[in-house]
Amino acid sequence: MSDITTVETRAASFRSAFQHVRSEVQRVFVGHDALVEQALIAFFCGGHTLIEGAPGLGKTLLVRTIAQALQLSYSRVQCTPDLLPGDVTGTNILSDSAPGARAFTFHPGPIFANVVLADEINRATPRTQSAFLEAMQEQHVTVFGVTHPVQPPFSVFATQNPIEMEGTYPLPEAQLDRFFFKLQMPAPTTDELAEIVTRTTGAPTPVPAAGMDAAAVAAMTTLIREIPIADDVLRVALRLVRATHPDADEAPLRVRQYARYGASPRAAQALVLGAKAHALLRSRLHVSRDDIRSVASSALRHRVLLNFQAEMDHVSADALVADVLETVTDQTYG
Amino acid sequence: MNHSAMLIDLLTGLSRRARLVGFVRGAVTVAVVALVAVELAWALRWPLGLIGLATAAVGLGVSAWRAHHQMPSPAQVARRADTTLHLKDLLITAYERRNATDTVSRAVVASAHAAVSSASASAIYPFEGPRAIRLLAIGTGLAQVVVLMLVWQAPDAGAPLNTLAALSLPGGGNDAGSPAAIASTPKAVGGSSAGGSPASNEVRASATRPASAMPADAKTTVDASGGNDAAATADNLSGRSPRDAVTGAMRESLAARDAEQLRQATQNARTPQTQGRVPIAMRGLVERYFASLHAFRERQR
Repeated sequence: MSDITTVETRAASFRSAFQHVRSEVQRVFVGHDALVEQALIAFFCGGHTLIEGAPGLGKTLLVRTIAQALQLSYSRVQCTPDLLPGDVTGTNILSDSAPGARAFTFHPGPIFANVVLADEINRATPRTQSAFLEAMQEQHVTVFGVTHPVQPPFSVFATQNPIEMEGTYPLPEAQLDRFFFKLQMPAPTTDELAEIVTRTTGAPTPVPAAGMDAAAVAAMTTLIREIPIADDVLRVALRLVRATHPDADEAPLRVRQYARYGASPRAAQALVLGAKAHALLRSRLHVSRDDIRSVASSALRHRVLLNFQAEMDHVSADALVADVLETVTDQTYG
Repeated sequence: MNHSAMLIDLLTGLSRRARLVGFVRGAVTVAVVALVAVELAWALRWPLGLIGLATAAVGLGVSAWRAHHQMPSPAQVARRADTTLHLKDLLITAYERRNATDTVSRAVVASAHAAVSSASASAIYPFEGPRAIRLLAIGTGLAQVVVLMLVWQAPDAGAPLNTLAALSLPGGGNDAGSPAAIASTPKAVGGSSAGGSPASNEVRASATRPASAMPADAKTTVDASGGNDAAATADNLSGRSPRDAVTGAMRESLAARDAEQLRQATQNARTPQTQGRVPIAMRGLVERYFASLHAFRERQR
């Protein structure tokens, strides 16, 4: 078998595995196909995902179903104001190490899982929120001076509720930037709502069949990173990122008016990696401008920081990102 | 030969085609401009026609120079092919990764080679331009060809316009101030009117003759116009120069007569033009065409 055939086989396996996980998730989770795809893209890229939506839309169910479909270890942290960092990372516990001897042993917290759900993360205090930071970025946790690596694949799915702001601690910009994608879960359509009610008020909810393990996930992540991207396409991604900065030449008018800070280089990384995975799913071994555009909103919306004027005028980050996409598209496709 | 080299060969071939297409398009444009210029030069004997011919020549030179020196690079060809064939940046990626040794890049190059091989070069670089430009060029070219054919096929081709040109009023043109030349070489002033009618020559001779330069002919002219002796005598008695009196009367007479003769000459000039082999359906068009040319020239004066 030639090398090229091997690559095509790997790509076909990627699509097959991805499709299997997606279909298993969709057996349990109704609707929001694009959101499911982007959540899985973020996971297979090795990133973390922030899901924002009103209560009761199934955010927790989605993450739990993904973990079940992937057959990976899963833990859930229900964030509350009294949650402590040690509750997340784990702590040392004095225990009997040998007959008559005692020693501190590390008891890992829920962060040591392949898929971690930080439910309502904005209800945790900033101190606890920051407990996630090191693990999310560095893939390890330091407790009492000892560093403990987390096991790959490692992905944090955090949820937050945009409605109830009382008693919450909005995520700081530094932590928001750690999230690969921010996905917004809208209310279901009438048809989707009918399907949800039908499924949840009838026979027991089906359990997704596991079809993947950590090694398979690692192979998929590796393949994504091998996908080449042309310099032209890369520059489109970079222009998109630059255009979110109010002082950049590429910035559209509303960005200059309403944005306080633009996206960081992590946004460009997320754009390119997400676009690579998107290209693979479309049976391509190269990235196109369309792939970049497909993941741009998810990668940029939480990295564009709005100023006070934007809040006064009810301008959202999504609107600014849409402006950016329109502006850069005109320059590119003209 | 590996896929990378074959891909480069294909892109180079497309680049050559792009050069040829550019030259052909430029040549077609130049041909249209030249056609118009030839027509203007023939019809108006006007510097615009020469300018048009010069422009056409320069355009042809520029087109040839661009075709020879400005061959698009393989990267530009790849971008163009990506757009026209909807390959979603496959070719430009393959071109940039042509020397990479990893298997995915090689697979991309192979895929790009297959895509370009199966595509038609005419789909990437068609000889015909955008539809609007194409229609405009064809329409312009056809219109000019039809007009030129009508003009050349006419039995008295060339006479009408020369006649009209000679009908210019005193002081309005170069010919107007040279009555001697007209008198001595009436046929030469008639230009290429080999088959010009006598009426045309007659009109030209009297219309281009300035009143101030023809005292010797004044009597004859006044007599011919019906007689103004009484007015001339009165002017002479009042102290004015007889020559001035005759000249003033003659101017009025000439102006009135010129207008009438201009109308008749135009009618006479159009007659041979629209007879013979010119289709009846085209006569109105041709008449309007020459009338507009005449009006244009008059405005220029």
